[in-house]
This record gives sequence, C-alpha cells and structure tokens, in this order.
Amino acid sequence: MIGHSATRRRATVRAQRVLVGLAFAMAAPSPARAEELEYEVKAEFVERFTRFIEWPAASFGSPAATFVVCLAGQSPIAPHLEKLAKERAIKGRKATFRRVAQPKEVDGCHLVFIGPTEGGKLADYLAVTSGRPILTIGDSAGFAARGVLLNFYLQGGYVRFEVNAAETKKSGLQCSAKLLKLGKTVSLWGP
Amino acid sequence: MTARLLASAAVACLVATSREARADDPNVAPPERPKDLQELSLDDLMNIEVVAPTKAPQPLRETPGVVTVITREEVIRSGARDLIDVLSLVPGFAFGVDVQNSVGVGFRGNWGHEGKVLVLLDGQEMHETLYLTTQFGNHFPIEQIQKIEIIRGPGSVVYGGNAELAVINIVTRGARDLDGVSASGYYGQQGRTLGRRSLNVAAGHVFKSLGDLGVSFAAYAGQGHRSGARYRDLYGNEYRLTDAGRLDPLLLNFGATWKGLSVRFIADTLRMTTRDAFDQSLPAPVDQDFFGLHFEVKYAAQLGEGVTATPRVAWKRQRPWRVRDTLVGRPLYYDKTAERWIAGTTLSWNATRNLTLLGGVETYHDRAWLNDRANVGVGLQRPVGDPFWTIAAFSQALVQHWIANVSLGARFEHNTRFGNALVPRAGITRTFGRFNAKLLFSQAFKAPGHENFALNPDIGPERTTVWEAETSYQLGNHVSLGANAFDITIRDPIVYVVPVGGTESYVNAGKTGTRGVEAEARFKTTWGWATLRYSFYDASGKNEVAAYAVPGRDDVLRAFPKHKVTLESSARLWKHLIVSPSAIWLGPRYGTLDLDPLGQPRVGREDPTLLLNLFVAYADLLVDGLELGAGVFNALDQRLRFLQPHDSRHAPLPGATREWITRLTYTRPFE
Repeated sequence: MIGHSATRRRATVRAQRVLVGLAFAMAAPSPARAEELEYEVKAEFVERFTRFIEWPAASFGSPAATFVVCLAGQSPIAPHLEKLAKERAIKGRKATFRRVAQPKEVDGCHLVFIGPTEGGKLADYLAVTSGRPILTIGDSAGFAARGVLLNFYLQGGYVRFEVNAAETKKSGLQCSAKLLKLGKTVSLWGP
Repeated sequence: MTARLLASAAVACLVATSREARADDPNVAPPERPKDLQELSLDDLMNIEVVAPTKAPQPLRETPGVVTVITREEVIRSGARDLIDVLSLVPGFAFGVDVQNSVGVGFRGNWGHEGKVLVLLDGQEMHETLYLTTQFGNHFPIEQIQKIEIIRGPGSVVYGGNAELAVINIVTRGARDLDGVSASGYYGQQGRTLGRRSLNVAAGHVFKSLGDLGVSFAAYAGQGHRSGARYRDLYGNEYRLTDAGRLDPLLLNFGATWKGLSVRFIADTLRMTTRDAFDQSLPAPVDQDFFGLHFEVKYAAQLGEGVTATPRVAWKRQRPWRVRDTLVGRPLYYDKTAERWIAGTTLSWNATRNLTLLGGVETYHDRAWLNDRANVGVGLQRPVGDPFWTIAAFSQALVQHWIANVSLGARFEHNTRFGNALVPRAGITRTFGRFNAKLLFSQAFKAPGHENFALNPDIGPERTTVWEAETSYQLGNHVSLGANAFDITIRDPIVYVVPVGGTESYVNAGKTGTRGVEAEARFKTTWGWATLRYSFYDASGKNEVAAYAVPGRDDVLRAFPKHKVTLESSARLWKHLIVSPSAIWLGPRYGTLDLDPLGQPRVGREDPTLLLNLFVAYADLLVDGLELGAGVFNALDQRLRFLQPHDSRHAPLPGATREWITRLTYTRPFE
C-alpha cells in the first residue's frame, strides 16, 4: 500500500511538472511576430541598400526596364520583398519580384536575396553572379566570406550587415563609401 | 498538493532557462514594431531592436569562450562517417577505449569519457547517468546535422556538472532548415568487413495556416562494425572484431514549435557487441545495448520590457550497458535503468543596451533501479543507491564597454548526495580592428553518477580550474589566423580503478591536468576552403594520478597524442563536382600494449598515425537534389588503435581500417 501511494505521489509530481511547462504555452505573445518584424526591417534594409549602389546602365535593357528583385530558395523575407517590389519604385524604376529555384535562373535579376536554404548551392549561385552587376544579399553566417556581397546578421538584437568589399568591387556595382562604412568588413570568423 | 502545484508554477514563472537561448531560438517574445519603417534612414534602421535580448546572437551562456562552429556544409562535404571523424578534426579532441567495445572522448589530453565532456543533441543531454558515458562510433546521425557548436572549455556554470572540460552541441535540421524531405543511404566497406550501412529520412515543414506550426521528424537506422581488424588482448586471445565489435544505431528525432512552445522527443538506441570485456576476452561476443528516451517541453515568454523568461521541463530514461548474456558466469550481466527529470527556468534582463543580466534555477531529480532483482550479484548487477536531488542557481552579467566586454558569472549547486559546489567564471574580450583577444577564467566540476556512488559512497565531485587565452587575426579577405593557450587543473579527479581480481570502483585521486596551445589557419574563398589546425598539450608537473601516468614520461598522459595536426579542405572543381580531402596526424601515443615478463601490464609507445581521407561528391546528378558521393577513409590503411587512457588492462582496440564509402542523398524542398 505504501508503495502504491508512493507511485501515485510520483505520478502526481510528474503531472505537475508537465502541467507547469504546458501552462506557459497559453499566455505569452507569439514569436512569429518577432520574426515578422525582423524580416520586415531586413526588407527595408534591402531597399535602402539600393539607394547607395549604382548599377551600370547596361544592366537595364531600356529606360523602361524594371528593376528585378529575386529570391533564391526559401526565406521569411519573401512576402516583404514581394510587397516591396509591388508597392515601391527602386532606382526610379518599377520593380518586379521573382522567385528563382536554380542558379541559372538568376539571369535578369538585379538583386538576389539568397535564402538560408541555398547554402548547399551557394557556390553555384556565386559562379553565376560573381563579377557581374548583380547585388547578392545573404542572411546566413559565413555567406559574405564565401562571396555574397552583403550579408545580414544580428548583434544584440539589432540588424547588422557584412560587406565583402573585394567581391563588390569585382561586381562592377558602384557602392557608396557610406554603405561600406556602415557594414562590417567580411570576416572569416563570422560576425 | 494544490499549494505545491502553485508553488511549482510560481517558481517556473520567476525564472527561465537560457540553455537554448541562442540565435536560432524561435521561442522569444518580440519587441514592438516601430511606426513608419519606410521613412527611416539606413542609420535609423540599424537602431531598431528586432529581436528580444535572449535571442541575440551572442549566446549569453557560451560567450566569452573558445568556440568552434562546424557547419552542415563542412560536415556533409567531408563525407564524415560519424562524430569521431568530425571531432578528430577539431583541436583538442581525441579518442580512447574504455572497456567493453566502448570508445570515449578525450580532450586536451584528459580522459573525458565519464561525464567530463557534455554532448547535447538538440539540447538533450546524451550521456547516461549511471556511469556518465557517451558512446562514440557509428552512433549519431551525420546526415541530420545542421551545425555543431563546440565550446572548447568548461561549461559548468551554465550546463552543470557534466560540462567540466567541453560542450558539444549537435543541432539537427529543424522544420525551417528542412522545409521539405530528405533521404540518404550510406555504405562503407573495410576489406572483407562491412564498415557501415545506414538509411536516413527526414522531413520538416512550417505550416503557415496553423500559426507557423513547425514540425520536423528524422529517422536513422544502421549497422556497422568498429573495425575489420583483429583484436588481441593482453593475454594472447585473438579474434577478428567483425562480429565482436558491432555498432548498430537507431535514432528517431521529433521536434515541433508553435507560438513559443517547443517540444522535442528523441529515441536513441545503440546496439553493440562486446567480446573484449574488461581485460581478458570472453569466449564469444555478447550483445550490449544502450537505450535512451528523451523528452523536453519549453516555452519562452516576455514578462516585461527587456525581461524574458524561458521555463523548461525535460525528462530522460536510459538503459545503458545492458548485457543479458548467457555465458558461463554471465561476467558482464547488467540491466539497470536510470531516469532524470530536469525543471528549470531563467530570467534574462536587458537592463541597458550594454548590460545584460541572467539568473536561473534548475532542479534535477536522478534515480536508478534494477530491472532484474533476481540476478543481483551476477556479473555487474549490483544494487544502485537512493534517488538524489540537485538544485542549482546560476547568474551571469555581460557588460559591453568600448574598452572591453566583460562577463562575470557563477553557479551554485546543492546535491543531496555530495553537498555543495560553487563555480565562478569570468572573461574579458577585446577587438582591435582585425585583431581579437580573449582572456578567460573558469572553474568547473564533475558531479558523480549513480555508479560512482554505488561503488564508493564517499566519492565527491572533482573540481577543475581552467585558464584560457585566445587571439585571432584577420589577414585580408580570405585568410584568418587564431591561437589559444590553456591551463587545466583537475583536483580530486574521479578515477576508475580495477584491482586485479577485484571489483571495479572509483576514487578521488590527487590531481591531474594539462596545459598547452591550439592554433588554426583558415583560408576560405568562393570555391572552397582549407583549414590547418594544430593541438599540443603538456602534462609536466600536472598529473599525480598513477592510472593516467606514462612511466618515465611526466609530460604526456595515456592514450592521447601530445601533438595533433589536421588539414581539412574542400574545393569545387567543377559546377557540380566537389572534392574534399582531409588529413589527421596523431603524434606518438602511450598506453598499455602488452605484459612484461612478470605478467604485469606494460605501457608502450604507439607510433604516429597518419590518416588520409578523400570524399568526392557530384550534386544534381540526373535530377535536381540528387547527390552521389564516394570516397575513402584511412586511405593508407594505417593501423589506428584506440588506447586505454586509464590503467585497466584493456589492450588497444582497433579502429577502422581503410574504408571505401559511398553516399546517395536526395533532397526535395516543398514548393
């Protein structure tokens, strides 16, 4: 009988622990909002970047050509970039949003946001974009070191970005000194 | 009972664990969204706090520290067979044989197998709590890894009494990383012996329509052998390890996140065979199994401005070293279960932009029992002791200042068996442009496990003091250099002893430790990378433990090389073709190799070993997402043997001979 009651007591204690854990599930705000804000801000960063960068005229086939914003792979930034392209002009041009699934599809893009899902194919993407006036932007540790021109990271809860100056120079894009100053020089050790 | 329930809930509300409070933790309440984002300049955008403090990428519980992060790309490109291959390339890590076909980890020359190096799989402690060991070799699923974070230094302040020397945190692919399905098959052949064969499947998805419910599941099943070589014990008994060194893993891993709630379930099985036993081989192999179930639920909540709490409840039940042999005398018979409950919470307060404070409490409840009382006294089936409680509180302050960043922390732990432990930690980090420097001081401890108590009721915790200094320099855009020095002193180490003809036991014995340096040079560019690493330790004047000592050599400890050099590289030769060679050179090692004329174990020198590996992968073969890889490990077919780091008369256990491997992987993201 004593053993039985001890078993019940242990079972009750276990139940308490589980309940306490589960109770927290009911009250706090959604972390999805945190991610929402983070990527909304990052999309604004993307737009601001374009103000500090000049593309060669040859990048645009005609004066009426649109500015093509591309997203490679998957990222929570997708709806924000799409909205950005739909509602705002970039470099004085109408913008369009396009998803790409393969490196060969980045032809025609002026800006490619490379999602974290594309780490395995990054070298393929860079083989296509390197030395061409295509602004590549990453959101994963080490992407800038591997050749992506700008790469987001978080520091103390704030959005920061790295710049791969050597690749940027090679790309033919004219990048303002201010952008280079605000960004952190690429580091092989990560941010 | 209601009062106790309320009290439990109140405690849980007050503090929250930051164990998982790292950059990729989705369970953090968000800051407020500023208005008029479109009107803000680039400078203004940089002043918007987008992530609550505990989600900040400077892991509060791990920084400052000497940290190595191994990415999925590095792991997969290398073609690594198991975690031994991965960790062998990391400074400080080496492997030795314990007993019964069990291979464990050593770190900076010190034997870390029994509770000194903490291995976490998605935040779950993988060591068993009877002897505190973690099994290496064809155990953890390489193909499921997203990254491995390694703290090459003590983690006791934040992770408790089994993170004395280092922490290995394996993070597998979650719902966001996968967002699709992945399957792979792996095959390795060592001469006439099957090296390994395994199957992996994984799937994950974030269901937007269900409030961003993220779900991932992975399964890993395989068969393998420790080696295709022959094993010879000190007494001349010899046999091929093929059937006597099986390693058959099965691991299921489920994870889910929803609105801050996070759930994890892992079922981990490693079935092996052993014939080597302790010293003299058995007449035939016996089955030896390690079972483990792990469950965790946690939640992160913002309690106020800049204040975040994350409560966590975790449970694990393990049945390690299970041997139910039918040999005469049943010498290894063992069937026990150990269970651990963990409840903890941490409170994180971002007091100012430059000051972050952490405080937390954790409670552990440990118990173990015999599954078969009828056979008490047979083999190793001894009674286990009473359950025990551990209550811990820790705090840490991080101050960011233009002169330097300073971290101060401490952990106090009360254990109903061994009493109290208090360990402090302090660190200073400074960046000067491309130059970075750290100075770290940590104390750590190892809490005894069930069997330590059962075999010696007077056993106490061992205590460790570690000094570390690290510096790194960025040389241009493609090259970086780094080096660190360390000094480890372990007082009252818990040492495994087996008197001749007697019963195994544990004692607190004097002191031990090492000092040394580790260095790294890294080249990285768009088409590949190469990393050269060097490790060195010296035990001169540090070691007083006879079981670890090498007669006539004060400067080196048993089993682990004083010098280790590794080269890891990978290059994309063509659009879809990646070649990844690597090399590991282990300097001379010392351990029990044979018996002297009087029949006593004799410590000898194992010659240096050079392991050359090559893996070649071709991506998008025929269809997108299909990758075929092949390669060879230990291409020179060097004699790789695991030596025993303690004095228990186990002969060197052969490791893998030359192994030809192939891997086929298919990954398909959801549209």
